Amino acid sequence: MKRRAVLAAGATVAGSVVAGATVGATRGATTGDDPEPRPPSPAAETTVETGAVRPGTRRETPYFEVGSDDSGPTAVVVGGVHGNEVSGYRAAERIAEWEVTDGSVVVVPWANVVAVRRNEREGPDGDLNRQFSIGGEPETPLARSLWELVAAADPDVVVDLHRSRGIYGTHGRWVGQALFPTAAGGATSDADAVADRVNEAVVPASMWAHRFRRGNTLGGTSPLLIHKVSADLDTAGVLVELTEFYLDVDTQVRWTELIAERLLSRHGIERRGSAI
Amino acid sequence: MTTAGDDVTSESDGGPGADRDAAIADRDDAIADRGAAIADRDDAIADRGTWWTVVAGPGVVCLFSLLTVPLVLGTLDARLHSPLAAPGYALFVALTVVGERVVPQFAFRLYWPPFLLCSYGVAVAGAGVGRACLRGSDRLRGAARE
Repeated sequence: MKRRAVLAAGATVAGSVVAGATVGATRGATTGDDPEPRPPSPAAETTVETGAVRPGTRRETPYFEVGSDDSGPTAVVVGGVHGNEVSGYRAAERIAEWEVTDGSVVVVPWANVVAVRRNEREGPDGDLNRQFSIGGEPETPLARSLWELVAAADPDVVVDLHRSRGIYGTHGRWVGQALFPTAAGGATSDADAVADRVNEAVVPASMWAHRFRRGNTLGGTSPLLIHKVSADLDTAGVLVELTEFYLDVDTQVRWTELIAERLLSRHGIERRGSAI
Repeated sequence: MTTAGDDVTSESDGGPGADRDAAIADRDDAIADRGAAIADRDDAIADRGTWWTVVAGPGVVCLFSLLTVPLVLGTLDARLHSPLAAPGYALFVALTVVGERVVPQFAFRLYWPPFLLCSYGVAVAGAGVGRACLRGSDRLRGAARE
């Protein structure tokens, strides 16, 4: 598959940087408000390959491939597109620690690593999730590199992890507690099924406003990563939005990770030791 | 000199009997005054008790705790969220829904002080309604007995 070539190339250029400078830091807890990226500690039995997006630059950020073999389905999970959305990149860090029994997952935990380090929504080039022009090249080098990685992985599903302030349909313009699927790849039914499953599993009945729902379908009308996945790759993708309203960061991370797990499971990518 | 058979209580002769009567009357007045003072103090205590019950009686404390404590636990960790938090949760969500329309940029954590204030108001009102219901039912029971 294409992804192996991409990973090998990336690892050659930046593997030592990632393994030494970034991965060598502290481990353990993967939640909290500290904006510093925390390198994952993959399960011992899992094959992990690493590489980097924008190697050799200030925006260099690692990615991890966790998987069982080459033959199964592939997913791409992206966190940290917005640097202040802590639960998204903390959940991605945890996903990079999974032991995957079927298929493989390419995880980019800190897509906009400068913004993550600054704990700001936007990086030096502005809002990364408004730079994925539909039908053409993304607007900035970082967006282009990220898109090249996504496209080269030839994914069966792409999951983009975010966090919002309020709740979709309850708090004006906020979009939390919603899964926004692509028009392509049957993602709408995935979003419905996963929302139902996660509501049943972890959202208390008395937290009625926090029940997950499917948001509107993303079909390529805006320059967002998942819009581009739908329009340019014709592949399933889901933009996951958790709310910070009333939810502690640990809960946001747990629920985000669970949603990713169920979404990937719908595409045949199974995690050993499911959270449900 | 008073002799046996004299009417010592007679007011007409202005003797020692009249002095005693006056002393007794004074004492009765003093007792009456003290009684009035005690009654006033009891009224004051009763008034203070009623006022205190309205603003911080057991009913108010219970309702306020019911609205706030389970919600605070839930916000520390969603796994601590229990059905007991439902009333406080509904109030908090309602506040933020209204607040979002009025001041969209207001951060959600800033809703805690108004939430606590509203919870207190609801607790005072709820406890007042509870007391009124109890008084009403007592009166009905009394009327039924008569």
